[in-house]
Amino acid sequence: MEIKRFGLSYNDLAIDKAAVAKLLKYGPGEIPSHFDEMISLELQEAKDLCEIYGGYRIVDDISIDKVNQIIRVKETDFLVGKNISVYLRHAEKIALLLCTAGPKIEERSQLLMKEGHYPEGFIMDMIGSVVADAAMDKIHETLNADMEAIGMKVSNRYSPGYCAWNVSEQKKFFTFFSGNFIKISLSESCLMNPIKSISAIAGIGKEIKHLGYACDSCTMADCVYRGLKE
Amino acid sequence: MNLIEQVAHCIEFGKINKASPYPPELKGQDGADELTQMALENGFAAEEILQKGFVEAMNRVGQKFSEHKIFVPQMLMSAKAMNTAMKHLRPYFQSGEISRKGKFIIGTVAGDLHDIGKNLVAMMVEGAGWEVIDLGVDISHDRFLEELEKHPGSFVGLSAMLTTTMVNMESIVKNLKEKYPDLVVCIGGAPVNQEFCQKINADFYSPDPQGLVNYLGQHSSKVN
Repeated sequence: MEIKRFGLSYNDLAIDKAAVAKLLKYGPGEIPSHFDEMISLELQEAKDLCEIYGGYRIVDDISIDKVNQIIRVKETDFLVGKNISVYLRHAEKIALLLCTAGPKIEERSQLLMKEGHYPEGFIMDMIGSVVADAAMDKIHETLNADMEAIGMKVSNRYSPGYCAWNVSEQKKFFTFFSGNFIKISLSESCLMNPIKSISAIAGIGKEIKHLGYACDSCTMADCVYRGLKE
Repeated sequence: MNLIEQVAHCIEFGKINKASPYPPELKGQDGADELTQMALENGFAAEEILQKGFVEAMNRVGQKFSEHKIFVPQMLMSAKAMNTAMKHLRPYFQSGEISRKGKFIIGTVAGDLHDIGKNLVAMMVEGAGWEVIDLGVDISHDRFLEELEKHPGSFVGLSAMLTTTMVNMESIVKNLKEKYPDLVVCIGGAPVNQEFCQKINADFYSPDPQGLVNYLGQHSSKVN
């Protein structure tokens, strides 16, 4: 079992305006100039608000039950649904990944909204999502590099709440991390606090494949992240 | 354009006031704030300003959003312009010179802290001429009942962002309808759909705010 934890700075993540504009649903060149300007201003502010931490834990003791759509990690059965159990069928290990952008971005977003600066507050909220996602990309990249060094490949990552994996399974997920690994708490309804946090699993193995982005196989038609990644 | 049409134009395109640099093509010009004040000073009736200025503009905004011609930031900018200008009309609501279409009580359901979608809906419904009572996030059925006692005849809107919290909508709808069988409850949020709406005995689901605004508009006669 391997555990890795690291802090990241905003500058490590190469956040750009285009990623924020894309999450706001604007295609290349489509964003009105004043919102483009607003994104720049909020990004400038967000730099100092980020408290980015993340890491992963790799578990060797796993099995995949495609029939019952279960991934067993140690003694824990994750009811991941058909798609994820099929995608990870060749996994020899499972990585559990966790990261957060910290609480300050969402606090700032809420304050802006409360003060009536609705577009700015919304843009700050979206920046928080972009930062958390970019941090998770970075952690995923590190995991890829670590596994490549020992001849293993890493799959896409899958989060509770997506691809028919019920978000209530977050409770099981968090049993793999001690409270002081990263300061993320879970509410009774499985909402992570700070909200701008991501949890996910990925499969590791010699025969594992990294697929194209799997939005087509997810049933959340109105998901804000739908189609954002190629 | 007369003054009311100018108010509508400013709200539609998010021109808040003269000081606001947005949108760039209206930089330096009066915004919804100043123009609403001027319209009142020039003798336009507050009701006409509300209906032909505010409601008409927000209706256009909602329509464009439904058609994916604009996105959330533009909608929020319009809401900001409308809210800023609304301060000039508030005394007329208090005096009874202008009336709302009805009351709409909205909240994010118990266990859920997401509020951006809920806020957006609240703004659009207010912009359509309704009095909105926004209870905030993590709202129990008791809290909705408490507010319904204060505002009988209101419509209710429930929002949820998580599959774990959307299930709380069912018990809220059940509790509210036990006490108020004729109550109209509308639901929305990322994990919610029409099938779920029917399953929990809610009255209406819309994937976007304008759908709700249209629905409320059709049923506003139900409100006393």
